Amino acid sequence: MIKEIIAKDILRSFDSRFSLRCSIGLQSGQTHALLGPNGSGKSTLLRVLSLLERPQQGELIYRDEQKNYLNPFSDLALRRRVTLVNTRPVVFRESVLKNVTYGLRIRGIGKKECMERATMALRLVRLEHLKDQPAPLLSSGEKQRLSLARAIAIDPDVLMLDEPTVNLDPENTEIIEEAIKALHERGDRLILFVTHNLFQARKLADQVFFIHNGRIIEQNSRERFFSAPETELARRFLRGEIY
Amino acid sequence: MGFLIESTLKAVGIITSLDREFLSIVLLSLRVSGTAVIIATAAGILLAVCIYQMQSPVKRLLIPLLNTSMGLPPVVVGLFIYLLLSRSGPLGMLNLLYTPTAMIIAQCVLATPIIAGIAHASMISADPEIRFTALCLGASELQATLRVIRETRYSILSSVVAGLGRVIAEVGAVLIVGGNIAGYTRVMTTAIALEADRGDFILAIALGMILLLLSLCINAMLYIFQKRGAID
Repeated sequence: MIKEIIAKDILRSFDSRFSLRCSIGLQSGQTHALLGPNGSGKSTLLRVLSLLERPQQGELIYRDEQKNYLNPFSDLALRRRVTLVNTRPVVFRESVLKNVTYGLRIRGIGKKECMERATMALRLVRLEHLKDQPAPLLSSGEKQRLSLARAIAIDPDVLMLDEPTVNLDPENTEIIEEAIKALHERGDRLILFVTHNLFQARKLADQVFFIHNGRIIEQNSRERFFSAPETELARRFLRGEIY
Repeated sequence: MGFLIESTLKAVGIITSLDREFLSIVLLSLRVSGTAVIIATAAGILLAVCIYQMQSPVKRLLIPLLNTSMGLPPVVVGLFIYLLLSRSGPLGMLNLLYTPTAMIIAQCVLATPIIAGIAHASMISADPEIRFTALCLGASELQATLRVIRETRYSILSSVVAGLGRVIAEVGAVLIVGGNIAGYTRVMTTAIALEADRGDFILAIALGMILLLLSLCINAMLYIFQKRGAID
């Protein structure tokens, strides 16, 4: 089980206008929220931390009970212990069930176990009754739930979610939040999610990171961040003055 | 006009009576073009995958090269294969010239760039998030590419059908490397050219009808695959 992710002075820049340059530490058993205005680098940081985008500089270390992974990007087995649920859910042109089992099939997991895990994941996001439907026919809320079910079925050590409930109605939002809570209650998973919804961060997160212009400005416990933020930028963000 | 009607009726007679010479020409055409397309499909899709996954700057050179190869003139391909397989050529010792194998090679060279070009275009025009989603779920680079292929399968099937359409109606290359030997390397297109040249239009019309029917089937398949791809 992954115990810790440490990013030291990572740099990821796309052009002269924007660069992500930050350090961050994440612990297992915790749900972390990454907050920040639009274009502050939240999604980029998520892609780097989930081993999908290499930083141009800096160090990213994954640590489990046995060892430190100093070069995690070239380790497929390690990458398979991390799953990112993207903002825009892309479903494959096959049934809901096959979508959920995809991540398991590529790991060589047997058919029986695939079915058991997929059924459990679909039950958690309340899509079990649609398992034989073609996935492209689902509503956007159902697609987002399916996207989460695909990740849950894999049962990753690290789950990252990029705005998992953006543009969703309250019912779908609640189902997804309940599923994230259920994962958190398993106790040993490391969860990091990006959100613009402060209520959601307050409801789900143990730790909050506030990012602005590619820099982590503040890291605090949920209680402290929302009751007594330490930086002026975070206070202005919470007051809705920067977005 | 009467001559045309009479010849057409006799041609229909050849088709319905399953004339032996007629049948052998049609079957050889299907065997040569079918084999060529099967090999070209494997090579074309492999080539498309390699170019799709390539990170090197050579890719910028390969794509226009591939697109140019899609329009290779069949006679030039025929001439090139002829020079390779002729007795004094580098592959002369294989004794393949004027054999169905030589015709398969020539048709493969014609179909592979078409299949590779269309398959590659389908893959790069697919939603980039498909690949990214597969990677997010733990796919290796190859597994993510296979997922993109699966998601664009109807467009890729269209490329195979387009390749078949190109080779089945082709005359220049097979004539040069096959030699149009009766009962051995004579296929529909070369037989039509020969029979028309000799003024014996009945067999030519019969073969022409089959060729048109095949073209119609190929285009119907292409239409179905493109429509299914568009719906998906």
